[in-house]
Amino acid sequence: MIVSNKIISVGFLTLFIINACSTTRIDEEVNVAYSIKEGESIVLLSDSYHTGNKTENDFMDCLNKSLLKKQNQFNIINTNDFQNMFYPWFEPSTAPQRIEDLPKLLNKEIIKNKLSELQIKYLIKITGETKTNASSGALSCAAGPGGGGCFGFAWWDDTSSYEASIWDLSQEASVGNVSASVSGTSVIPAIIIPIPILARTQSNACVGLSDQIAGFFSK
Amino acid sequence: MKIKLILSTFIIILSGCTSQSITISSSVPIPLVLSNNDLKVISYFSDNVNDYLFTSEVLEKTDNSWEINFQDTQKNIFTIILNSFFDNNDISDSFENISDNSADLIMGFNLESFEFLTPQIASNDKYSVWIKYKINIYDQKKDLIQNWSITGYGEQLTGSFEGNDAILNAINIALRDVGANLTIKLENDMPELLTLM
Repeated sequence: MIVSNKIISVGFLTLFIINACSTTRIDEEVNVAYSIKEGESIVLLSDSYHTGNKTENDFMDCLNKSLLKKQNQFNIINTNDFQNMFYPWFEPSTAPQRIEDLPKLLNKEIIKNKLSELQIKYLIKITGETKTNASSGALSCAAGPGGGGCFGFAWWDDTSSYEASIWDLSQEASVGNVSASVSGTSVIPAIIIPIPILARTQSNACVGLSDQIAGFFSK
Repeated sequence: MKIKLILSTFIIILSGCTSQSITISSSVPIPLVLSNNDLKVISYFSDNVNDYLFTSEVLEKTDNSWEINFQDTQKNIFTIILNSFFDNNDISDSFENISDNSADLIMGFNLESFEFLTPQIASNDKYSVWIKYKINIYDQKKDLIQNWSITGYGEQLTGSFEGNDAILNAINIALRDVGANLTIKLENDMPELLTLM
Protein backbone atom coordinates (compact mmCIF):
# COMPACT_ATOMS: atom_id res chain seq x y z
CA MET A 1 0.00 0.00 0.00
CA ILE A 2 2.86 2.37 0.96
CA VAL A 3 4.74 1.45 -2.25
CA SER A 4 1.70 2.15 -4.47
CA ASN A 5 1.17 5.53 -2.74
CA LYS A 6 4.79 6.41 -3.46
CA ILE A 7 4.38 5.48 -7.14
CA ILE A 8 1.26 7.66 -7.39
CA SER A 9 3.09 10.59 -5.73
CA VAL A 10 6.09 10.27 -8.08
CA GLY A 11 3.71 10.06 -11.04
CA PHE A 12 1.94 13.25 -10.03
CA LEU A 13 5.22 15.07 -9.42
CA THR A 14 6.47 14.05 -12.87
CA LEU A 15 3.28 15.33 -14.44
CA PHE A 16 3.65 18.63 -12.61
CA ILE A 17 7.22 19.03 -13.80
CA ILE A 18 6.40 18.24 -17.44
CA ASN A 19 5.78 21.41 -19.38
CA ALA A 20 3.33 21.50 -22.23
CA CYS A 21 4.64 21.92 -25.78
CA SER A 22 5.57 25.36 -27.00
CA THR A 23 6.96 26.87 -30.22
CA THR A 24 9.53 29.67 -30.19
CA ARG A 25 10.27 32.11 -33.02
CA ILE A 26 13.11 34.61 -32.79
CA ASP A 27 14.09 37.44 -35.09
CA GLU A 28 16.90 40.00 -35.39
CA GLU A 29 17.39 43.16 -37.42
CA VAL A 30 20.46 45.44 -37.46
CA ASN A 31 20.11 49.03 -38.68
CA VAL A 32 23.47 50.71 -38.07
CA ALA A 33 26.90 49.79 -36.70
CA TYR A 34 27.19 49.55 -32.93
CA SER A 35 29.61 48.46 -30.23
CA ILE A 36 29.71 48.25 -26.45
CA LYS A 37 32.84 48.38 -24.31
CA GLU A 38 33.51 46.79 -20.96
CA GLY A 39 32.19 49.00 -18.18
CA GLU A 40 29.49 50.57 -20.31
CA SER A 41 25.87 50.03 -19.31
CA ILE A 42 22.49 49.25 -20.82
CA VAL A 43 18.98 49.81 -19.44
CA LEU A 44 15.79 47.91 -20.22
CA LEU A 45 12.64 50.02 -20.27
CA SER A 46 9.15 48.87 -21.17
CA ASP A 47 6.99 51.01 -23.43
CA SER A 48 4.30 52.91 -21.58
CA TYR A 49 0.82 51.61 -20.82
CA HIS A 50 -0.26 55.13 -21.80
CA THR A 51 0.36 54.04 -25.40
CA GLY A 52 -1.53 50.78 -24.96
CA ASN A 53 1.53 48.62 -24.29
CA LYS A 54 0.98 45.93 -21.67
CA THR A 55 4.42 44.50 -20.96
CA GLU A 56 4.14 42.85 -17.56
CA ASN A 57 6.34 43.94 -14.63
CA ASP A 58 7.31 40.34 -13.90
CA PHE A 59 8.51 39.93 -17.51
CA MET A 60 10.76 42.99 -17.08
CA ASP A 61 12.10 41.57 -13.79
CA CYS A 62 12.76 38.23 -15.49
CA LEU A 63 14.54 39.92 -18.43
CA ASN A 64 16.76 42.01 -16.13
CA LYS A 65 17.76 38.94 -14.08
CA SER A 66 18.21 36.66 -17.08
CA LEU A 67 20.43 39.14 -18.94
CA LEU A 68 22.50 39.75 -15.82
CA LYS A 69 23.26 36.00 -15.61
CA LYS A 70 24.07 35.57 -19.30
CA GLN A 71 26.92 37.99 -19.82
CA ASN A 72 29.61 40.00 -18.04
CA GLN A 73 30.64 42.16 -21.00
CA PHE A 74 28.56 45.18 -19.91
CA ASN A 75 26.59 46.40 -16.92
CA ILE A 76 22.83 46.24 -16.65
CA ILE A 77 21.20 48.99 -14.64
CA ASN A 78 17.98 47.76 -13.09
CA THR A 79 14.90 49.40 -14.65
CA ASN A 80 13.45 50.64 -11.33
CA ASP A 81 16.81 52.02 -10.16
CA PHE A 82 17.23 53.80 -13.51
CA GLN A 83 13.74 55.35 -13.32
CA ASN A 84 14.41 56.53 -9.75
CA MET A 85 17.78 58.07 -10.66
CA PHE A 86 16.31 59.84 -13.68
CA TYR A 87 12.92 60.71 -12.15
CA PRO A 88 10.73 62.04 -13.78
CA TRP A 89 12.17 61.73 -17.28
CA PHE A 90 11.63 58.00 -17.94
CA GLU A 91 8.25 57.47 -16.27
CA PRO A 92 5.39 55.75 -18.20
CA SER A 93 3.85 59.12 -19.09
CA THR A 94 7.09 61.00 -19.77
CA ALA A 95 9.63 58.58 -21.29
CA PRO A 96 10.44 59.01 -25.00
CA GLN A 97 8.20 56.67 -26.98
CA ARG A 98 9.91 57.07 -30.37
CA ILE A 99 13.53 57.55 -31.31
CA GLU A 100 12.55 61.02 -32.62
CA ASP A 101 11.68 62.03 -29.02
CA LEU A 102 15.19 61.28 -27.79
CA PRO A 103 17.10 64.44 -28.90
CA LYS A 104 14.71 66.73 -26.97
CA LEU A 105 15.45 64.81 -23.77
CA LEU A 106 19.18 64.47 -24.37
CA ASN A 107 19.46 68.23 -24.98
CA LYS A 108 18.98 68.67 -21.24
CA GLU A 109 22.49 68.98 -19.85
CA ILE A 110 21.57 67.48 -16.45
CA ILE A 111 20.25 64.27 -18.10
CA LYS A 112 23.13 64.01 -20.54
CA ASN A 113 25.67 64.38 -17.71
CA LYS A 114 23.98 61.74 -15.58
CA LEU A 115 23.87 59.27 -18.50
CA SER A 116 27.54 59.94 -19.14
CA GLU A 117 28.42 59.55 -15.43
CA LEU A 118 26.73 56.13 -15.35
CA GLN A 119 28.18 55.21 -18.78
CA ILE A 120 24.73 54.29 -20.08
CA LYS A 121 25.20 53.65 -23.80
CA TYR A 122 22.06 51.78 -24.83
CA LEU A 123 18.41 52.08 -23.89
CA ILE A 124 16.45 48.96 -24.81
CA LYS A 125 12.75 49.59 -25.26
CA ILE A 126 10.59 46.51 -24.66
CA THR A 127 7.12 46.07 -26.10
CA GLY A 128 4.76 43.11 -26.12
CA GLU A 129 2.69 40.98 -23.82
CA THR A 130 1.35 37.51 -23.12
CA LYS A 131 -2.12 36.89 -24.51
CA THR A 132 -4.53 34.00 -24.25
CA ASN A 133 -5.78 33.35 -27.79
CA ALA A 134 -8.30 30.60 -27.25
CA SER A 135 -9.58 28.44 -24.46
CA SER A 136 -11.99 25.57 -24.25
CA GLY A 137 -13.10 22.59 -22.18
CA ALA A 138 -14.91 22.30 -18.90
CA LEU A 139 -13.75 21.65 -15.40
CA SER A 140 -16.09 21.32 -12.47
CA CYS A 141 -15.26 20.91 -8.84
CA ALA A 142 -17.56 20.01 -5.98
CA ALA A 143 -17.16 19.70 -2.24
CA GLY A 144 -19.40 18.07 0.32
CA PRO A 145 -19.31 16.81 3.88
CA GLY A 146 -17.70 13.55 2.69
CA GLY A 147 -14.94 15.23 0.65
CA GLY A 148 -14.51 16.89 -2.72
CA GLY A 149 -12.99 16.58 -6.14
CA CYS A 150 -12.81 17.87 -9.70
CA PHE A 151 -13.64 16.32 -13.03
CA GLY A 152 -13.14 17.50 -16.60
CA PHE A 153 -10.60 18.78 -19.06
CA ALA A 154 -9.65 22.39 -19.92
CA TRP A 155 -7.07 23.84 -22.29
CA TRP A 156 -5.95 27.24 -23.52
CA ASP A 157 -3.50 28.70 -26.06
CA ASP A 158 -1.07 31.42 -24.95
CA THR A 159 1.20 33.56 -27.10
CA SER A 160 4.01 35.57 -25.53
CA SER A 161 5.34 37.99 -28.09
CA TYR A 162 7.98 40.59 -27.15
CA GLU A 163 10.24 42.93 -29.09
CA ALA A 164 13.32 44.86 -27.99
CA SER A 165 14.29 48.00 -29.86
CA ILE A 166 17.90 48.95 -29.12
CA TRP A 167 18.54 52.71 -28.97
CA ASP A 168 22.08 54.07 -29.03
CA LEU A 169 22.01 57.16 -26.79
CA SER A 170 25.25 58.60 -28.19
CA GLN A 171 24.16 58.25 -31.83
CA GLU A 172 20.50 59.04 -30.95
CA ALA A 173 19.52 56.24 -33.32
CA SER A 174 17.89 52.83 -33.23
CA VAL A 175 20.68 50.36 -33.97
CA GLY A 176 18.53 47.25 -34.18
CA ASN A 177 15.60 45.15 -33.08
CA VAL A 178 15.35 41.65 -31.68
CA SER A 179 12.20 39.72 -30.92
CA ALA A 180 10.97 36.48 -29.43
CA SER A 181 7.55 34.94 -29.83
CA VAL A 182 6.51 31.79 -28.00
CA SER A 183 3.19 29.99 -28.46
CA GLY A 184 2.00 27.07 -26.40
CA THR A 185 -1.00 25.14 -25.21
CA SER A 186 -1.65 24.49 -21.54
CA VAL A 187 -3.96 21.72 -20.37
CA ILE A 188 -5.61 20.76 -17.08
CA PRO A 189 -7.02 17.24 -16.97
CA ALA A 190 -8.86 16.52 -13.75
CA ILE A 191 -9.95 13.21 -12.28
CA ILE A 192 -10.59 14.06 -8.62
CA ILE A 193 -7.36 16.13 -8.54
CA PRO A 194 -6.69 18.72 -11.29
CA ILE A 195 -3.24 18.32 -12.87
CA PRO A 196 -2.07 21.53 -14.58
CA ILE A 197 0.39 20.96 -17.45
CA LEU A 198 1.42 24.49 -18.32
CA ALA A 199 3.15 25.89 -21.39
CA ARG A 200 5.40 28.50 -19.81
CA THR A 201 5.30 30.84 -22.79
CA GLN A 202 6.22 34.00 -20.87
CA SER A 203 9.30 32.55 -19.16
CA ASN A 204 10.40 30.92 -22.44
CA ALA A 205 10.00 34.28 -24.21
CA CYS A 206 12.05 35.90 -21.43
CA VAL A 207 14.85 33.37 -21.96
CA GLY A 208 14.60 33.74 -25.76
CA LEU A 209 14.70 37.53 -25.72
CA SER A 210 17.56 37.74 -23.21
CA ASP A 211 19.54 35.28 -25.40
CA GLN A 212 18.85 37.54 -28.38
CA ILE A 213 19.94 40.73 -26.57
CA ALA A 214 23.09 39.11 -25.15
CA GLY A 215 23.88 37.68 -28.61
CA PHE A 216 23.29 41.05 -30.28
CA PHE A 217 26.00 42.71 -28.19
CA SER A 218 28.47 39.80 -28.34
CA LYS A 219 28.94 40.11 -32.13
CA MET B 1 -20.72 18.86 10.70
CA LYS B 2 -23.92 20.75 9.84
CA ILE B 3 -22.81 23.71 11.94
CA LYS B 4 -19.47 23.79 10.07
CA LEU B 5 -21.29 23.75 6.72
CA ILE B 6 -23.63 26.57 7.73
CA LEU B 7 -20.72 28.61 9.07
CA SER B 8 -18.65 28.24 5.87
CA THR B 9 -21.69 29.18 3.72
CA PHE B 10 -22.22 32.23 5.93
CA ILE B 11 -18.55 33.29 5.52
CA ILE B 12 -18.76 32.92 1.72
CA ILE B 13 -21.92 35.09 1.60
CA LEU B 14 -20.34 37.72 3.86
CA SER B 15 -17.12 37.97 1.82
CA GLY B 16 -19.16 39.17 -1.20
CA CYS B 17 -19.42 42.64 0.34
CA THR B 18 -16.72 43.81 2.71
CA SER B 19 -15.08 47.01 3.86
CA GLN B 20 -11.49 47.61 2.73
CA SER B 21 -9.15 49.96 4.57
CA ILE B 22 -5.89 51.19 3.02
CA THR B 23 -3.22 53.57 4.27
CA ILE B 24 -1.00 55.34 1.73
CA SER B 25 2.55 56.26 2.69
CA SER B 26 4.44 56.40 -0.60
CA SER B 27 7.01 58.90 -1.76
CA VAL B 28 8.80 59.95 -4.96
CA PRO B 29 12.52 60.13 -5.76
CA ILE B 30 14.22 63.55 -5.74
CA PRO B 31 13.71 64.87 -9.29
CA LEU B 32 16.71 65.28 -11.56
CA VAL B 33 16.35 69.02 -12.16
CA LEU B 34 18.42 72.17 -11.72
CA SER B 35 17.46 74.10 -8.61
CA ASN B 36 16.88 77.84 -8.48
CA ASN B 37 18.33 79.69 -5.48
CA ASP B 38 17.15 83.17 -6.51
CA LEU B 39 13.44 82.66 -6.00
CA LYS B 40 11.67 82.66 -2.65
CA VAL B 41 8.61 80.37 -2.80
CA ILE B 42 5.86 79.78 -0.24
CA SER B 43 3.45 76.90 -0.73
CA TYR B 44 0.21 76.06 1.05
CA PHE B 45 -2.02 72.99 0.88
CA SER B 46 -5.78 72.58 1.21
CA ASP B 47 -7.16 70.21 3.85
CA ASN B 48 -7.69 67.44 1.28
CA VAL B 49 -3.96 67.54 0.47
CA ASN B 50 -2.70 67.90 4.05
CA ASP B 51 -4.54 64.86 5.36
CA TYR B 52 -7.08 63.18 3.09
CA LEU B 53 -9.39 60.34 3.97
CA PHE B 54 -11.34 58.93 1.01
CA THR B 55 -14.52 57.02 1.78
CA SER B 56 -16.37 55.40 -1.09
CA GLU B 57 -20.09 55.14 -1.63
CA VAL B 58 -21.28 51.60 -2.24
CA LEU B 59 -22.98 51.68 -5.65
CA GLU B 60 -23.85 48.01 -5.90
CA LYS B 61 -24.47 45.31 -3.31
CA THR B 62 -21.54 43.28 -4.59
CA ASP B 63 -19.08 46.18 -4.28
CA ASN B 64 -16.65 46.60 -1.43
CA SER B 65 -16.70 49.85 0.48
CA TRP B 66 -13.32 51.56 0.58
CA GLU B 67 -11.60 53.75 3.11
CA ILE B 68 -8.30 55.14 1.82
CA ASN B 69 -6.20 57.20 4.21
CA PHE B 70 -3.66 59.32 2.33
CA GLN B 71 -2.28 60.82 5.58
CA ASP B 72 0.20 63.56 4.55
CA THR B 73 1.57 61.64 1.52
CA GLN B 74 0.36 64.17 -1.08
CA LYS B 75 1.84 67.11 0.84
CA ASN B 76 5.18 65.28 1.22
CA ILE B 77 5.34 64.48 -2.51
CA PHE B 78 4.67 68.11 -3.49
CA THR B 79 7.26 69.30 -0.97
CA ILE B 80 9.91 66.97 -2.47
CA ILE B 81 9.19 68.36 -5.95
CA LEU B 82 9.22 72.02 -4.83
CA ASN B 83 12.39 71.57 -2.74
CA SER B 84 14.17 70.16 -5.79
CA PHE B 85 13.30 73.27 -7.83
CA PHE B 86 13.59 75.98 -5.19
CA ASP B 87 16.27 76.22 -2.53
CA ASN B 88 14.07 78.71 -0.67
CA ASN B 89 10.75 76.94 -0.28
CA ASP B 90 8.61 77.42 2.83
CA ILE B 91 5.23 76.03 3.75
CA SER B 92 2.39 78.14 5.13
CA ASP B 93 -0.76 76.94 6.94
CA SER B 94 -3.03 78.94 4.65
CA PHE B 95 -3.09 81.56 1.90
CA GLU B 96 -4.39 84.17 4.38
CA ASN B 97 -1.35 83.74 6.62
CA ILE B 98 1.06 84.67 3.83
CA SER B 99 1.88 88.37 3.95
CA ASP B 100 2.36 90.50 0.82
CA ASN B 101 5.90 90.59 -0.58
CA SER B 102 7.03 87.72 1.64
CA ALA B 103 7.69 85.52 -1.42
CA ASP B 104 8.36 85.83 -5.14
CA LEU B 105 5.94 83.01 -5.88
CA ILE B 106 3.06 81.53 -3.88
CA MET B 107 1.77 78.10 -4.86
CA GLY B 108 -1.51 76.67 -3.56
CA PHE B 109 -2.37 72.98 -3.96
CA ASN B 110 -5.92 71.62 -3.95
CA LEU B 111 -7.08 68.06 -4.65
CA GLU B 112 -9.86 68.35 -7.22
CA SER B 113 -10.73 64.69 -7.78
CA PHE B 114 -9.70 61.18 -6.85
CA GLU B 115 -11.34 58.36 -8.80
CA PHE B 116 -10.70 54.69 -9.25
CA LEU B 117 -12.11 51.63 -10.96
CA THR B 118 -11.93 48.15 -9.51
CA PRO B 119 -11.85 44.95 -11.62
CA GLN B 120 -15.39 44.22 -10.39
CA ILE B 121 -16.76 47.56 -11.63
CA ALA B 122 -14.77 47.68 -14.90
CA SER B 123 -15.10 43.96 -15.66
CA ASN B 124 -11.38 43.61 -16.35
CA ASP B 125 -8.31 42.46 -14.44
CA LYS B 126 -6.85 45.76 -13.26
CA TYR B 127 -7.25 48.67 -10.87
CA SER B 128 -7.18 52.13 -12.49
CA VAL B 129 -6.66 55.34 -10.52
CA TRP B 130 -7.01 59.00 -11.56
CA ILE B 131 -5.98 61.98 -9.43
CA LYS B 132 -6.39 65.63 -10.39
CA TYR B 133 -5.06 68.72 -8.61
CA LYS B 134 -5.65 72.40 -9.13
CA ILE B 135 -2.57 74.52 -8.48
CA ASN B 136 -2.95 78.29 -8.13
CA ILE B 137 0.17 80.40 -8.57
CA TYR B 138 0.33 83.94 -7.25
CA ASP B 139 2.93 86.68 -7.54
CA GLN B 140 4.43 88.58 -4.59
CA LYS B 141 1.35 90.86 -4.39
CA LYS B 142 -0.82 87.75 -4.09
CA ASP B 143 -2.36 88.29 -7.52
CA LEU B 144 -3.23 85.08 -9.38
CA ILE B 145 -0.88 84.69 -12.37
CA GLN B 146 -1.34 81.03 -13.35
CA ASN B 147 -3.83 78.24 -12.77
CA TRP B 148 -2.60 74.72 -13.48
CA SER B 149 -4.35 71.36 -13.63
CA ILE B 150 -2.00 68.50 -12.82
CA THR B 151 -3.21 64.95 -13.24
CA GLY B 152 -1.87 61.51 -12.46
CA TYR B 153 -2.89 58.08 -13.69
CA GLY B 154 -1.89 54.67 -12.42
CA GLU B 155 -3.00 51.17 -13.27
CA GLN B 156 -2.10 47.79 -11.86
CA LEU B 157 -3.03 44.33 -13.06
CA THR B 158 -4.33 42.21 -10.21
CA GLY B 159 -1.96 39.37 -11.28
CA SER B 160 -0.19 37.79 -8.35
CA PHE B 161 -0.89 40.65 -5.93
CA GLU B 162 -2.41 39.70 -2.61
CA GLY B 163 -5.07 41.53 -0.61
CA ASN B 164 -5.13 45.25 -1.32
CA ASP B 165 -1.60 45.39 -2.78
CA ALA B 166 -2.83 45.86 -6.36
CA ILE B 167 -4.96 48.96 -5.65
CA LEU B 168 -2.26 50.27 -3.29
CA ASN B 169 0.26 49.98 -6.12
CA ALA B 170 -2.10 51.66 -8.61
CA ILE B 171 -2.51 54.63 -6.20
CA ASN B 172 1.25 54.85 -5.64
CA ILE B 173 1.85 54.83 -9.43
CA ALA B 174 -0.77 57.59 -9.89
CA LEU B 175 0.84 59.74 -7.16
CA ARG B 176 4.26 59.20 -8.73
CA ASP B 177 2.77 60.25 -12.08
CA VAL B 178 1.41 63.43 -10.45
CA GLY B 179 4.92 64.22 -9.21
CA ALA B 180 6.38 63.57 -12.67
CA ASN B 181 3.79 65.75 -14.42
CA LEU B 182 4.24 68.59 -11.92
CA THR B 183 8.03 68.48 -12.33
CA ILE B 184 7.78 68.63 -16.12
CA LYS B 185 5.18 71.43 -15.96
CA LEU B 186 7.47 73.44 -13.67
CA GLU B 187 10.48 72.77 -15.90
CA ASN B 188 8.62 73.79 -19.07
CA ASP B 189 6.72 76.77 -17.67
CA MET B 190 9.42 78.28 -15.46
CA PRO B 191 10.61 80.83 -18.08
CA GLU B 192 7.00 82.03 -18.57
CA LEU B 193 6.43 82.21 -14.80
CA LEU B 194 9.52 84.37 -14.39
CA THR B 195 8.22 86.85 -16.96
CA LEU B 196 4.85 87.08 -15.17
CA MET B 197 6.35 87.83 -11.77
